[in-house]
Amino acid sequence: MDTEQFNLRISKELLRDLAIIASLLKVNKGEWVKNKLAKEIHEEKNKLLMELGNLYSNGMITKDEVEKLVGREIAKEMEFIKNKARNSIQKGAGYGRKFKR
Amino acid sequence: MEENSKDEFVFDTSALISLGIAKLIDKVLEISKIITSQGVIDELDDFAKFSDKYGNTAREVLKFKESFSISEINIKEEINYISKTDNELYNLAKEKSIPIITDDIKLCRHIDNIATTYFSTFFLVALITSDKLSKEKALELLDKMKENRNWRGNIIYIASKNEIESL
Repeated sequence: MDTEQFNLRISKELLRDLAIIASLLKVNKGEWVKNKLAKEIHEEKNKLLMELGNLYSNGMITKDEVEKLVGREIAKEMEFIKNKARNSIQKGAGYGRKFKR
Repeated sequence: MEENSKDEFVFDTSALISLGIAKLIDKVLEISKIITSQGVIDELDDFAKFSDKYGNTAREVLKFKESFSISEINIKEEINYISKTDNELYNLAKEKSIPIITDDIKLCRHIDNIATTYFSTFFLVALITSDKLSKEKALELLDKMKENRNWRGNIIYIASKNEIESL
């Protein structure tokens, strides 16, 4: 995994609290923060993309607008999923009709 | 229903789990032949070891295993960046010239120009138009299938819901 240095300045009080957590859990302070940060970033990203996906899927925002906000790759992926979902429904509807009683 | 009027489809684990959550496997078997690989059955067996939602669903799906056609596949063409099981399913679908039913977006994107893929919602709507499921029940089941999904799954859900409502 590629990594990059990211420095944070935090209050002394927060640092003392972190030391207490690390001591009680017998873990490395840096590792604990790294894991918590990774979890929080993953959840927040998913939550925000859910909201953006809602707007896009309901036609309230265009692919170009999505691209401006989060970049080309995610905009392309949203467009792909929306089109695939529509196509799946349309083809499924056609397939089911041949079994209509 | 004439057995030979049912089309064959290759199902991956994600699609079987989605349809299993909706308890639709028996109904799907009424209108299609479920083709899959031993790799998918192994993945379901792995899920089934756990007592969570996916474990329970996997056990439910595996009850219908005898009705599936489980193929042994030689991988003749390997696609990069997808799993061995997905490569097996791709080769199976290609050999038989049939679509793959999957909710795995990564798989869909990697084989988009070389194979036909549909999300599992294909069958949700096929069951509506074949009069085996009401639109209201299908929307209720779609809600169930959506639970705990990520943002990608959420787009499948909303786009499918909009399409089903307009049927």
